[in-house]
Amino acid sequence: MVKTRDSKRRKPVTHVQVPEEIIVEILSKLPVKVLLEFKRVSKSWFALISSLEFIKTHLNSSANNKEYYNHRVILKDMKGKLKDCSLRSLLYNPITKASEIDYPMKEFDIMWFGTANGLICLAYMEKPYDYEYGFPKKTWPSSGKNICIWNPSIRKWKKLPRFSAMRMSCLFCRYGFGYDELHDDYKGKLYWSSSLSDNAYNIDSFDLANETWNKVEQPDYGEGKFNLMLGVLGSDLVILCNYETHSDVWAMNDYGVETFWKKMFTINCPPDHRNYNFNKHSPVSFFPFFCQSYSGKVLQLYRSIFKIYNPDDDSIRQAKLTNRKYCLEAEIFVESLVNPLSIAYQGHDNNED
Amino acid sequence: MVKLKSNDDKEFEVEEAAVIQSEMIKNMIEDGCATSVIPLPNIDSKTLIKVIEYLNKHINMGKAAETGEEDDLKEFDEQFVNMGWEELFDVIMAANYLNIHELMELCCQSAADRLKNKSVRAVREMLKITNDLTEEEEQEIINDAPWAFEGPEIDDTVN
Repeated sequence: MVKTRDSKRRKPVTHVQVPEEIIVEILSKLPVKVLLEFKRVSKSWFALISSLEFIKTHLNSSANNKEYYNHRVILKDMKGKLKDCSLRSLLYNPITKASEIDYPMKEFDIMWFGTANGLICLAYMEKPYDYEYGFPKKTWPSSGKNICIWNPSIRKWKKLPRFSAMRMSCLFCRYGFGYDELHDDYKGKLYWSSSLSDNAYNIDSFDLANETWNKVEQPDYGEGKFNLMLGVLGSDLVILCNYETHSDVWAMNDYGVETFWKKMFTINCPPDHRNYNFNKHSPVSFFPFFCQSYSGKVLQLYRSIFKIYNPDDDSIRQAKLTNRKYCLEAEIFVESLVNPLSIAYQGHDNNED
Repeated sequence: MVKLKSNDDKEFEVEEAAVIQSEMIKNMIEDGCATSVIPLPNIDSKTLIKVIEYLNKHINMGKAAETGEEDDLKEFDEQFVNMGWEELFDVIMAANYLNIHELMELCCQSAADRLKNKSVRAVREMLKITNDLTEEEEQEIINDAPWAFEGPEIDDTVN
């Protein structure tokens, strides 16, 4: 065979050392489970995938991915059992199947506070524990509850110190688990609301770093009877005011010293809203349990039915989810490698009580 | 027009509007260093032809959204990354060197998609990586998250 110039093939570039920046670029686009496997490739891959810098790069890449490949929705059914499904599938596919997930507090009753950076902050306590429409029938005793931060994607969790002053007794409180942008840490703050009377709510925050309590200033809501909930929209804490015919969504602009609120939009009640009544005797008949926005769309959960609200054309469509009985609580989280065991905690640690 | 020269001494003329998608060349032009031929010692002509094809197609990216050509561009991108693994890597190295952000994103996503279902052994071979972990170290990594190593059959092929 005659050797032509062409057949003398140049050595492929991959024989040359691939620059680390290119490896980082490629790996940051992979799902968490694959990355855990690829730690086995070599010493340098193990070091890279374990590094805090890469964990952050990967988190940013996942969180900013407009296709939501690495976003999941975690659900809690009426018995308190957890399942999850892909957010992308829920938004774009006609039918989505929820899958069982493995978690360490299976033997406990769980109440979650919120998510940030792929971490879910939750409280758990001994069973038995009665639910009614997914909410505890009786209030949780102040003793016997534990708070932890859990990353379902890497299945690691960390118990947090107990908060003696934590008032978790109100039936309708919604907790927020914030991310402290300023200090680039997720210890952040816990936010929750408590009902004083009709139309009067308190919102409190508890700083996990220095264990201080603060009252959160609230916006001027205007007239009308409403039901208040807290949630997270993008990276902002939001207040959801549920009126009989619509819901207002207020976003907190600053986690700093001064608090600014901005009304983001109003969601009108769907015509068939009475089917989703949480409580027939309640004056508030429109009750979206859950609300979060990506690319302007708002995913809502009304008594076990997921709805996708599009503020652009004011339309609402239903998303079908199979393999779950009822679910009354849901959260969106992004898959991340953030290890809860490496969270800095500066406060007083009384884990052992 | 801007003239580019590959490492196998082939010259290519490219419209300035297309070539400035490369941050590196854009800076050279702004600094007045692109008056004659720009030599690219790291890029062969085969790879450079691919890169220029991409640059010419993406010349008016901003306009595509207005004129409804987004789908067309998406289709082009899908076709564009339909190449062999080593060819793809050559384009990634070129895009990294020339600093063409969108091309880098596109090709790295394609590389990630190809690696996603591969076995650890296949990944090592595809990226020419020698395993320097001891058996004990590997076992330790598995023990840390055994569930991540279970699941459906993985792809052991290297293309």
